Amino acid sequence: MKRLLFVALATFITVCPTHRAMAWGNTGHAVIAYYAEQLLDEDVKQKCHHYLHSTLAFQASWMDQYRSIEPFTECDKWHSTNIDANYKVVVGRHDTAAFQIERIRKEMADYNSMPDSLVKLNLRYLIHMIGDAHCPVHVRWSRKEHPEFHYSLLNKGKKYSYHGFWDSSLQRWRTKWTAERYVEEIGFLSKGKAKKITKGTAYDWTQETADVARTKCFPLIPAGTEVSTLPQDKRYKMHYIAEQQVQRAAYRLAAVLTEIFKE
Amino acid sequence: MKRVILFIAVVLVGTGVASAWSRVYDKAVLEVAYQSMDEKTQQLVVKYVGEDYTKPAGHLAWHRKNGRMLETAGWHTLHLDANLQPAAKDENDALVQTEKALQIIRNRKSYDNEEVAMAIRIVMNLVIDMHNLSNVKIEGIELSGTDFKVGTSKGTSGGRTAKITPYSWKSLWTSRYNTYHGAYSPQMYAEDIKIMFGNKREEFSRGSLNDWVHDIGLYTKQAYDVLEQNNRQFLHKTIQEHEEFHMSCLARASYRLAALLNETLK
Repeated sequence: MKRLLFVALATFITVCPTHRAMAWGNTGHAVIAYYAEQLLDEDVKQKCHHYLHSTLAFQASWMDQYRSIEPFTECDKWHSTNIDANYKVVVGRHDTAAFQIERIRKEMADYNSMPDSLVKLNLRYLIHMIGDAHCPVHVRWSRKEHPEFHYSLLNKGKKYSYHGFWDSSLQRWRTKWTAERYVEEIGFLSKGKAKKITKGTAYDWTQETADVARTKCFPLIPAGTEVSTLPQDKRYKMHYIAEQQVQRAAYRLAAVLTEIFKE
Repeated sequence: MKRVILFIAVVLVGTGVASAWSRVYDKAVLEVAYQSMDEKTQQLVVKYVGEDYTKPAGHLAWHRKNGRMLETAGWHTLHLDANLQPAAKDENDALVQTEKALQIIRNRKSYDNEEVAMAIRIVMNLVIDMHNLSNVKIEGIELSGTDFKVGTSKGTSGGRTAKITPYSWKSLWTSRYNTYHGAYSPQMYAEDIKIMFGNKREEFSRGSLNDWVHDIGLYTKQAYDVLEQNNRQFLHKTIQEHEEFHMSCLARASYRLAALLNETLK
């Protein structure tokens, strides 16, 4: 019976999405959106402003704030994407960020025939989910198939969430930075590199994020790491990973918006 | 039990003196206001307050913190009667002090530069403050002012009970919305204010200071009405639904400040 209960619980945890996880936090999402806006041509930017009635950055965390509010509760499950036993992204599952990004990309090809309110909603989703798809802890590892990726850290001796640690990795130890400062620090890519990284689908990008999580994030910050005294070299590497993911997210968000609105 | 938790009563507490918006908002208002001024006004503002025209943000609070200008502690509150008309009983009122400072700016040839500069800083601070509805006291409205808390909740998914956390009305309108926009700079807010309400610049800045005060009273009362209709709770959903309204307060302050300085520095 106990065994049965354990299996049932494990299955529930595997299927159940991470409800209150807020990838990158409000800071990371605002930085990605602000960064993406700097990459847009003026005509595309103006169209985004027209539909959003604001900048991209202002809407960056809308999806987190509205995930518990009807009629938007459905999107509560769209903040991450599942990974299978072979470390591959699960394709075609409706309750994942990658699926929803691709669905909206296709739907927005016909944005001219949509009500403005739907275009606005879709933009809010894209701005947020493309950010989420690049957060190393917003790929869902099954607890049953990948128990090695489920552990906690320590913060001043107290149990601390691994997920929370990476969600706030960009702004950790940089509390006063503005989005402008982050973008200045991260810098811009050459045209060639930008073209290369913006290829592919949300599934490809999520796979890349899963690989980063598996090969870089987990080895860098193993179970039980005391984060309050993280050595300087690890802090540097953590920021580098976070910045690289933010940069990828920003370029890809800008590319998706350009694909939608460029005449 | 869930219902009991959900309908926890509003906690009434006494708080201190009203103060300004979060500094990032003050600076955003000054940024938009500066960009909306005539060129001549811009030049005079820079002449009196310096190249960094957003520096006067929180100027009075800064002085008080350093033990100076303590008499300004009560200047941030705007007092209105039940008809939403000015109702100051003494000099501790945002409108009274704004008008006094405007007189100095209008008659600036009779004052030295530092006195005029201080008057401009006072106008900047108080026009911003009076647009923060937690600084508005309306006669006859029990909830007026800053001396109570509201229940807020983060909300949960799947229909589970929302947790209600007491939160002050003042903090709600002063800084709560800023927590949704990490890494936002004053310039970023300024950009959003212009995109959202740039087309309302004329509408917001039309009329006199007294007309604006009445308008501030109207939207403050509107917020109180929403609070009353919701069992004196401003929950997560209501807070979210009022974000654009909050930005409109910043926009009103911005465009009105520009209009006021254009007129008085003519």
